[in-house]
Formats: sequence, structure tokens, C-alpha cells
Amino acid sequence: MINNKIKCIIALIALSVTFGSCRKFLKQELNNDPTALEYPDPVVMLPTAIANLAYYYGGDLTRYDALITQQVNGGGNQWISLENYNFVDADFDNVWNGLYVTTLNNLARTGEYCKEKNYVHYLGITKILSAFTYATLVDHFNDIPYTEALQGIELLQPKFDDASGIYTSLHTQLNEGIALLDEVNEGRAPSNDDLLFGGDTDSWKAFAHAIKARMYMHTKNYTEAKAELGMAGGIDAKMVFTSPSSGPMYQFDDNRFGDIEYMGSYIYNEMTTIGDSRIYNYVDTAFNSLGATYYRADQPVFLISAMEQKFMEAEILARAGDASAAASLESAVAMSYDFVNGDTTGMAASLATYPYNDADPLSDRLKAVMMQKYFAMFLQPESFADYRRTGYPELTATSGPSVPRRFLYPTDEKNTNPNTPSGVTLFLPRVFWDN
Amino acid sequence: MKKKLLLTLSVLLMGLQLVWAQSVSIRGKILDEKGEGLPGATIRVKGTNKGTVSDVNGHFKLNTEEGSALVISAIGMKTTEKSAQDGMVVSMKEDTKSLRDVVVTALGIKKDKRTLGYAQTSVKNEVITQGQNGNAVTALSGKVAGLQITNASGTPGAAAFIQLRGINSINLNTQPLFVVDGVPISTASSSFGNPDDAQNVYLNNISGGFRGLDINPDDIEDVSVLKGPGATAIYGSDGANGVILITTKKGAKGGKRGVQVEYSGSITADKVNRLPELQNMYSQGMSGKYQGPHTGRRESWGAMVDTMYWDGASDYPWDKNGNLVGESNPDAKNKFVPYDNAGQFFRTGMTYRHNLSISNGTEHATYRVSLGNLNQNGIIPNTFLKRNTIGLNVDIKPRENLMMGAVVNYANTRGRYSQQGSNLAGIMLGLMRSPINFDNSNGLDDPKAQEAYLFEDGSMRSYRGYGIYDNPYYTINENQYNDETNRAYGNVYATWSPLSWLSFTNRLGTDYYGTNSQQNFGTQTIEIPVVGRIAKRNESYNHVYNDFLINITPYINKEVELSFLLGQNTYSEKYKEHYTQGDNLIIDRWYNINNAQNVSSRDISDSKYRRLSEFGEAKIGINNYLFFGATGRLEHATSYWPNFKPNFYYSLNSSFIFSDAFGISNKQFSYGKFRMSYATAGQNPPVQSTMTRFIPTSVQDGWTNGNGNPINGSATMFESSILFNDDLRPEKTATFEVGTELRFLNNRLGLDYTFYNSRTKDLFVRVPVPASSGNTRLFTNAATINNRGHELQLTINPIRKRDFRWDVIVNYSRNRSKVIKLADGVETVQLNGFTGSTVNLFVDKPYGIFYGSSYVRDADGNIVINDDPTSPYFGMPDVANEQTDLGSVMPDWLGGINNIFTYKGISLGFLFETRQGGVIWNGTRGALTHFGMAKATEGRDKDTKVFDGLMGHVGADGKIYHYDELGNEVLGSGKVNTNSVNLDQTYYMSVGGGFTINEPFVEDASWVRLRELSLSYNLPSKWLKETKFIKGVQFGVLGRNLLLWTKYQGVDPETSLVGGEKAQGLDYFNNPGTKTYGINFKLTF
Repeated sequence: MINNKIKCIIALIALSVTFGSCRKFLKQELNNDPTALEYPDPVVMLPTAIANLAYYYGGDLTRYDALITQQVNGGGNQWISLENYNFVDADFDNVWNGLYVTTLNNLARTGEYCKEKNYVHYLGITKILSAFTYATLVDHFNDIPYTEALQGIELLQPKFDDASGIYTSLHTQLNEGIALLDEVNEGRAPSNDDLLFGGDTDSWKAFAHAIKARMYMHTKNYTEAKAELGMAGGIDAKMVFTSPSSGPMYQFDDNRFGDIEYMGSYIYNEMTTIGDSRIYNYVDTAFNSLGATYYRADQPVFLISAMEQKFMEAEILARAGDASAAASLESAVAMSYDFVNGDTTGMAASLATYPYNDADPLSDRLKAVMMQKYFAMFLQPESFADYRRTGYPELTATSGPSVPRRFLYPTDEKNTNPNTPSGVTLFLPRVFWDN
Repeated sequence: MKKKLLLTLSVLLMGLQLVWAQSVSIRGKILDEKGEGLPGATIRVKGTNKGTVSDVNGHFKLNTEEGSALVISAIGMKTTEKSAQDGMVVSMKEDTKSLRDVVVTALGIKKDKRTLGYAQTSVKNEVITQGQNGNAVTALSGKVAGLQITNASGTPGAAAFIQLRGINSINLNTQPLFVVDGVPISTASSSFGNPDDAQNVYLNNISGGFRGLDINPDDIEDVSVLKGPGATAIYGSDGANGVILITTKKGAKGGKRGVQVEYSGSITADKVNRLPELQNMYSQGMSGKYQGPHTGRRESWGAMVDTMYWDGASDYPWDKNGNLVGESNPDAKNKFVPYDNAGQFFRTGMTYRHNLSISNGTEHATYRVSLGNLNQNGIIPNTFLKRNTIGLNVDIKPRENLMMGAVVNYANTRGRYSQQGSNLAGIMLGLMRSPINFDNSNGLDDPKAQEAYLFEDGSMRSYRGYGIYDNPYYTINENQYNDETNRAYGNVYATWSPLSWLSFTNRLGTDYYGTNSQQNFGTQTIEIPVVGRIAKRNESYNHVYNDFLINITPYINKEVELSFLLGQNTYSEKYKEHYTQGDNLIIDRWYNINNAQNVSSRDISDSKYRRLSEFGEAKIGINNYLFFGATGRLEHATSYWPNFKPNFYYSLNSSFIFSDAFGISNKQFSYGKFRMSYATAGQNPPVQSTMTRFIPTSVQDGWTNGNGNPINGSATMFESSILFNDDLRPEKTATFEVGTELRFLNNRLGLDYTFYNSRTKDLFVRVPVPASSGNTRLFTNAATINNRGHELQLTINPIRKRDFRWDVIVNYSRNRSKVIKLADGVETVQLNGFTGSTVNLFVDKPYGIFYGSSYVRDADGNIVINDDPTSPYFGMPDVANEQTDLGSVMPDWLGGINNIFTYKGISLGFLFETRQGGVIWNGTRGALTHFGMAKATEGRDKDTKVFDGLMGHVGADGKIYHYDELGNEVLGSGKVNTNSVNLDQTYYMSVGGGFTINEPFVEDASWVRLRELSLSYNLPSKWLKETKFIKGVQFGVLGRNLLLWTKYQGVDPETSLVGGEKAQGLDYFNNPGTKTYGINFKLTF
């Protein structure tokens, strides 16, 4: 009996020891996720932000803008009704979420981290990329959340800021980005993880100036735009997806063959009528699909191209009545021919269709520049901004009296953020610079 | 020291006084009515709390004075008094008032059923194995009130949806906890989700990989189903969905011949039981024009085949009979005969099972060793399931007061499972859409023949030219999925009973498995955007589970029984999943990752979870007719870190045997019990969900496949689009239940009824948040769901003669669920589905609503018929732009009737099972109608219809208008439709087809089936006496799903696209179910 009692005591002691070791047994590290990173290291965040931005800019955004500017037609599924402007709120969820959540939010998180770690060059880059993305959003949605955006659980329903105010802030943000890239970087610096410029700070600064130039063009501040173009120095900001990755329009044509068609669109009809051979590299007439320049896994996605800058220059000069405008226009068109066809054969004929004469009134000179820019900027979202800024090309609405001037606020945002402005249509209110 | 012990124990025993006495040793044996040793009987010295418990063979040893009065009691036996005498033998008499009904309850503790204040159902081995179903889990279907089991399909290894008393979670597990011999095991399933999901997509569209498959049904002694928290609150955060307790067979002391050997085997044949009905009159093509396979035409709206001929050309690679031409064509040679692709494709799937067990024992030790082998070939060629199991149960009794034992189960399960669903490589998708003028098999019988699915140049031979929808023969040969699991689970335990009223038990258990899976995709399939793929997945899971229990049964007096249980549980779980993908095969048809040009690899999951729990139970019984019980459990789990906090769960229950209390039992009314309970149980948040992390991601835009990590040589990681926070609570279920058990006519009629009402709060929801805040969802506690229902089981024994016996068990259950709340501002949550055809939750509606496109209706509910005479759809119903509620996918009620007749050695059993109510979306029929393959489209040239409804249309402002005689638009719907329209291609490819509308393809999911039928014969033992060594011979025939009554126009409506997941009620080219015939044989030595 005594023996048994001792055993009972031992058992109870053993039990209490088990209880006592609980703290160690239940340690906090157990709830960590070794497959995920707990902080936004720029080495993995920056390439994703760039690739994601390029994929949306060259994909979803490109398709909607190309549909509105009649570079493509609806061929199947919902694209047929989209062609007739039967856009619903939900059609814009993808691009909104893709730019806010997967691009801007991650740039914001990375920026905070780089600021804390004093990685000034990375920080500068996040500012520039985020400014480009915000500017793109403003150009399509007008008022959007900016000052209160991207604060997570701290502020789940950010307010919508005035679009022109955002433009002002973005210029500041770009200036800050440029200034940071001018600083001496003592922390980690981008290299191969920078899929746009391989860590070259001068290129980033040039890109920032090109973005500013584009924004000044939108707000009709041509003097500033010209100055910025000078500092941009014809930078090509482009992303090329290398194997096994592939570009967004290539994938779309592959995965969604037939959803959008290319023949019979305004650009197709115009270019075939004037015999501009570039159209046959844009469009494969045998399959009514993407042509050789774009149907490539490694098709580049241009955020802003040197060619676009040359066209901006030609437009500024044309608006100023500067005699060098024609030369700028010609070299811009030559850049396009070189990119699309590989040479400039036939370029003269194309230029002759919309001749640029210094003596012509401004509207004709502008038309000569903008029609060429429209032909050259195939599948680039900036065409939509150009159309709204200048009225070229002179499109006829596919349905109803007018061509859409903006995007609708997406369903998800509307349903979850009571600050979302109501009463928005595809036509009104226009983006602040569109008047 | 002694004082301290006494003090400690006094606290434990709530102040009961203890007596220790000096005495001599008395040995004895307790026998039951049959004269066999009775284990577990309590022998006490009267008026003290000194006593002991008899061992497995009925022996006991007790230190007391000779001649002292002993009170001997046992569950289900009449308590007797004897005077102590060394070598005494006591024969116990059954207590007829209380039927001896010992059942397994939570933590594996056996209790007399009369003391339970909650619902519990036991299923014995004979009933589980009645249909020779190799899947121990689905073998329970129809046998337990309130248990819903849905086989995802009839293909080998298919997952199952398992549910007790309604679903009460949105993002967490909803299956009951499976416990084998006191230790939980995983019944996870790797078949989940819509294959359109991005992550790991190519492994997800497999119907298979269910870990409940690793249990050998022949090793099961008994299954005890604890249906709700009333019974399972002591499992705390494991108990919310109910618990299924499996007890495996133990060894027994052999007879005179010692060792007992048993062999059982069966051979069964599976056949497809049901397929969607297809048209057999029209060829591939459009608008009545034949367009052959070389055109790639998807639809079967071509020419009628009655006047078509083959031209016998040998240069048409798509058909050995040549081109299809009209009878007027000079080349017309042989009359066309439609191909029966479905009839030709499915095979008879044979299953062979062998089980061998050896058991024996002595007074001090028993053992049972079993070997099980299952070898199943599927109805889809080249699919199989093979399982080898080893089971070992050992119990030893080294000392009178010490029992020890071990249970070890090992399983090797491997299979080749089939593709299904919305998957260009899906079997049914390619097969059902195949036109009648194309022979997938190319006239070859051998399902492995390459000439059926490959052209000489290596490109795919399919009805759409060269692939697009994979030829099913291509899929079964080239797009194969294989997996193999090695698994071990079991426990070691020891029970030490130092004092008659005190025992300690420790049980240490584990469950470990590792699964290797490989999905191949051939170079010709366009299911994937690359030229061939090898996807490999390695999973490993293990847990360690330790229960330490202290059982205290202080004696007070004959009238009052008290018992206490104190326990502590330690749980530690690990899960890892690694995925490797190799794209672009260098050499065609060599399926090894070494043959891939681009290999990428990811850790999908790496998680650890630990939990410490302290728990206790107190029970008091008064006069053996009134019982009260209470349990409590305090838990600490690591998934709350960094906001670590304990959670408490409890239960209260009571049972009242009013027939005994009021002494009203007689011949007509044998037994009456009333019970009630209130209890809470829960589920902890998933691991790793308290912090938003940065995860590898792919870049995609919702239209295209996108690009996976890495891109251009750089790793790509993003913040999770789901925002996590650390302020989490458990999902908590509170259940009230009340029930009664009644027995009549000398126990020949029994009734067991339960009503329950259960509310689960704080369900985790991924609440949508504005993208502009940086994420799209917030993972948080938000929703509330209510489930209430009735469960009824009747046991009837209409005939009980010496040689002839008839037993009937009827069960019925209905559950009503209602979503009380989702989250602030959230009206609906989508569980799964395809764009526009989903299963959702809505506030104030039952769990699981099929949400799809419907006809436009006016304010009075009339269908609006298109009144625009210029429209091609004039006279046809208008289709609404928005999705609507098209019905609940959950059944109204479930039922089963099991009949067992025994006459001498003959036993006949048949189980009817039914599921009534609920809808299923027949997406298969919808798509086949669109493509002109569904049976209904056979009338395309002659059928007309005047649709019921009022003329009108939806105006630009979304309101309903109609045109008046002058063609003016007038608000509201107009006249009754009288226009007859042709049901032709135009109709079926628009408002009559499944790609435009869901409503006509949402069908009643009800069915009645003859689930199991068995007839067996035991050779009379007198015949076997001669042999000296054969103890028993049994042979029989059996069938499963032999009869099925349903209005459903598709495969067997017991089907699930998402396997065991929550979005039930979806059928989109699901693989068919089976009916089974077989024979079985059993030999005992």
C-alpha cells in the first residue's frame, strides 16, 4: 500500500511537470510560416512589382484602351458586348485590384521597409514606379484614393482624393524619387532584380522625367513637358518577359484566341487603306490574330518608349509652330518602322498620307502628328489619353453617340468602400485634364 | 508525506474520506450467464471504498478479510452480494431491466448507454462489412441517423463528403473527427476545389487521394458515432463537427485449439450505373451541315446521320471507315452506324480483397495480427487503387493492476486516379462531347493502344482535330496521376489501477503519413500552356497525441454512484507539402522530371501546430436511473500566437430512465429514457493566420495563365492579398439537444429520437475590403450559422424464433441550416464554382445555395417571354443578367432501412438508403445541350414549344416592358405568350443551353437506392467437426447500388465535383458512379 501511494505521488508530480513545461512546448515560433517572408525584401518585391505592373499595363489596360480606341474588335465571349460599350462595374475589378493590391500596395510595403533600412535607391525606385501607376489610374478613373490608400487594417476605407491634386503630389513624389537616386546609396542597391533597368539609377531618373513629361502633356503644360523630355533623353522603359515567362498580349492571344479580333478595326481599315505595311506585323490576317511583332513570347511591354517621347516632342514643336517639328515627326515614325518592320521601307508613303506642312493650320499639323502617333502606338494605353487630349484619331462611336472617356469604378471597391463616388458613367465626369 | 498525499487526493476527490486496511488476498472469478469470464466487473468490500475490477478473463484479486461481504456489480448485470472466499466463483445474471449496452464514448471510455445524456449510435463490424465496401468511411453510409456521406464518384480512391448534423464552418474543416482506438487520425482529402483555381491547379482536378481510405474495414470491431458537442465537448476544439470513434479488433484468448486464424476474401465487379443520356441521330457540325473531326468543330449540330455513308477511304486518319458522305455521293459505300463512345470506354472494374487475421491469447496477454490486401481496377481503364494493410493489437497484463497494450496499423495505399470536371483533359468532358461520328478508340479494344489517340506524327487524334479536348484515351495513358501513401498510426497505452477506486491511464498515439503524387501531362494536351508537364507533390503529415487520464470512482453507497475523470492532452502536429513542376518535355512520352526543360519548385506548406489541454468530467448516478454529467476542457493552442490565450469548452448532460424510476416497465413497455444536454465545442483558427506575410506569387490578370515565380530569373513575392490579424477567437458551437430512447414489446421495438439546435458563432470569413486599402480580404471571425434537426432510429425485431430472426433498423434525419450572419456589409460568400454558376452562402438562407442564371420574371413571378419580333429569340424566355438563388444543395432529409434476416446459417441483408430534397446543378447536361449532344436535342428538327409566360423584355433601365400593338414600349409585362418556337440549334445554343442559363439544368438531387444487398451462408458447424481444424465456413454474394431511383438526368446524383469540400451540388462532367456485384468467402480455423 505504501508502495502504491508513493507511485501515486510520482504520477501526480509527473503530471505537474508536464503542466509546467507548457510555455516551452507552446512557443510562439511554431506559428511562423517558413514558406513565407515576414518582411518585404526589395530583392523579391521589386521584380514582382515591375512584372505585375507591366503585365496589367500591357494586358488588361491595353485591351480595354485598344478596344475603346478601335485598335481591336470584340470577337468572342464578353468582348462582343464590351465593344459596344456594355461595360459594367465588375469589368474594372481586375485592373483596379491588380494595380492597387499587387502593384501599389507592394511598392508601399517595400518603400516603408527600404526607408527603415535606408536603402535609398530602392526607395527612390518605389516612388517612381508608384507614381507611374497612380498616374495611370488617375488617367482612367480620375479621383482615386491616394493620401489614405494602402494602410491595411489601420484604415480600411480610404477616401478618394481630387485627381488634379494627386497629379501635383505625383510630381512631388517623382522629384523625391529622383533626389533619392542622386543620394549616395549605403545600403543594398538594386541590380538584376530591377527588371526594367538592371539597377541603373540614371535610367530610373530619365524614366521619372519621361513620366513627368507625359503628365505635363496631359495637363497641357507643354513648356514643362519639353524640359522634362530633355532630361528623359529618350529612355525606353520596357519590360521583356523571358522564357519560360511570356508577355500579356501574347498569352491572351494564345489562351483566349478569338476573344478579340484585329481585322476590321478602325486602325486596321485606316492602315490597310493607306497601305501602311506595319499593319501586317500588327495583325496576322490569316488568323485574325496578333501579328509577328506582338505574337512573340518576349514581346516587350512599353511603359514609356523613346518613340513616344519623340512623338511628344513633335507635338510640342508642332503646337509651337517650330520648323523642326516635321523632322521630329519623321524620326518618331522611323523609330516605329524600325521597331515594327525592322526597316523604314514604305515610311514615306505613310507620312505622305497625313502630310505635315508648317504652313497648315494647327489642327492639321496636330492631326498629322497624332495620326502617326496613333499608328505607331499600337496596343499602348497612352493612345486613349492621346485621343482624349487631341481628338485624334477621329473615331465614330461603335454604339451610342460618344466614345467612352473614362473607366467605371469597380464593383468590389464600390461594395466595400462607401467613399467611392457615385453617378459615374463611361462618359462623365471626365478625367480632370480631359476638356 | 502521507498527509500530503491524503490532502492532495482529498482535494481531487472532493473531500471523500479514504480508508486503508490490512487484510489477506482473496482470488476469484466472475462469470457471465454463458459461463464465460466477465471483464470489468467491480468487486467492492461492502461499506468501504476498497475494491477492484475483474480482468479480461474475469479474474480478480482483492485484499480483504475472508468472509467479509463483497458487492459485485457490472454494467448490464444485476448487482449481487457474496461473502469473500479465496477461489470464489460468482455467476452474474443479466439485468433485464437494463439491456447490457456498453458503448464507446469520448476518449475511448466505455460507458453504459443508459447513463449517457446525449445521442450516440454504434455500428458493428458485421454491418460495416455487409456490402464488402473497401472504404471504411463510405461503408457507413445510410447506417447512422444524421450522418451524410456523399461519394464524390465511383472511381477508385474518390473522396467523400462526410457530415454530421449540418455544416457549421465556411473556411475550416467540416468533417467529423475520426478517432481510432483513442487517437485521432487524419481523413484529409487532396481532391478539392474548382480546377480553375490558380494554385497547384493541376493536382486539384483529380478525383482521389482520400486518407480515410487507409483504414481496413475488416479490422474494425465497432464504430461509435458521437453526433454533437453534447458527446464531444471533452474534445474541445476537435469536437465541433462530431466524432467517429473506431475501435479495432483485439485479440481474444483462443479456444482449445489455441490460435484462431481467419481468412476472408471477396471479388467484386464495378460497372457504371448511370450516364447522361446522349442523342444518337446527328453528326458533328453546325446548322445541319456535317463538319468532320478534321474541321475541329466542337458542336454536334450537323447533318442527320440516317442518310449518311462512309466512303471507305483509307487516307482519312480520323476514321478507319473513311469520310462521312451523303447517300447521293458516288463514293458512298457503307451505311454509317453511330459510335457509342461512352459504352465503349468504361470497363468492368474488378476488385479483389483478401484479409487474414491471426489471434490468440493467454490470461496475461492477447494479440491479433491482420493482413489486408485490396486491389481495385476502376471503371475507367488504367485507373486503380491498391492497398496493403497490417494491423497489430497486443494487450498484456504483467500484473493484476496493470494493463498495457499497443495498436499498430500500417497502410500502403497507391492509386492511379482519373481526371474530372472542367478540365480539357477531363475524362467525361472529352468523352460526352464526342460526336457520334467519331470513335475515340479508333476501333481498338485495348485501352492502351496508341493508335486510338495518337497519329503517326505524334500529334493527338481527337474529335476536334488535334486535341483541344483531350481524347479520353490520351488522358488515361498520357495525363496520368499516380500517388502513393505510406502510413502508420496507432498507440501504446498503460492503465494502472493501484487502488480499486483509482486508475491512471496514459495513451501515446501517433499518425504519420507521407504521400508522393505525380501528375503527368502529355505534350499534346492543351490543358496546360506548355509542351508537357510533370508535377510532383510530396506531402508529409504527422501528429503525436498523448492522453493522460486519472479515473476516480469513490464509493458512497449503493444508491449514489460517483465518478471523476481528470486528464491532460498533449498534441503536436506537423504538415509539409512540397511541389515541383517540370515544364516542356524534351522527349515525348517520357514522364520523368529529368525530361523537363524548365523545373520550378516550391514549398507549398510547412506548418506546426501544438495544443495543451486539461480536461475533466464528473458523473453522478442516482439509483441507477438518474444521471448527471459535466465536462470541461481548457485549451492552449499555438495558432493564436502572438495573441496567445486559453479557451474553455464545457458540457452538461442528464439522463433519466423514467421506466425504472417510476417502475412502469412491463411486457409492452420495456424501457424509457429521457436525456438532454447543453454543450460547447469549437475549432481553432488555422495555423499561420495571425500575420500577413509575403508569399511567392504568380503574375496574372484574370484572363490568361500568367507567369509563375520566378520571372526573368528573379524570385517574385508579394504581400498576401488576404489581410490577417492576431485578434482571433475560436469558431464556437453551442448545442442543445434533447432526446428519448424507448423500447417496447420486450425490447423488440426500439426508438431513439433526438432534437438538436446548434449555433456556431465567430466563423472565419474572408471579408472583402477595398483594394485601395492594400488587400482584398480580411480574415476574421464574423459569421454565425444555425443548424437544427431531428434524428430518429428505430430498431425492430418482428421475428425472433429459434432458427429465424428478422431485424430491421430504420434511420431518419433532417437538418435545417440557416446562415444568421456573414459579416458586416457582406450579403453573400461564394464557396466555389464557375463564373456565374456558383455555390454561395446568403444571410437568412440555408447553407449552400446554388447561385446561377435564371429566367427573367416580372413582379408577379411570371416568366418574361421575349416580345421583340426582330430578335432571333422571339417567343423564348429572357435570361436575367444577374445570378439568383436556384435552391439549396443540401438535402431535406436522409433515411436508411436495413433489413437482416437470418435463418439457420443463412443471412440476408439489404439496405435501402435515400436522400430527399436539395438540388444539383447538372452542368454536364447544360453543356451537352449547348453542344447538341444531350438527348433533348434529338428533337431539333421537329420539337416546338409555347413557353409559359407573359410577353415582354428588359428595357435599357433594367425594368420590364412590353410592346403594345403599335410597337410602343409600355412598362410591365404584356399578354400571355401564344407563340410557338422551334426547339432547334438557335434555341439550344442560346436560352435553351447551359452556357446561357442555369435554371433548367438545376435538378432535384433526390434518390432512393438499394445501397447494399448481401446473402451469405454459414456451413453448419456439425459438418465441420469432422475436419477437426475448420471452425467456420461462410460464403455469400453481394451487391451495392444495384437499384437506383432518381429523376436526375445525369450520372449517379450521389456526386461531388469538389470531393469532400463544402460546395456540394455541382456536377460538371463529374465521373460516374458505380454498381457492384460480388462474391465473398470467409474461413475460420
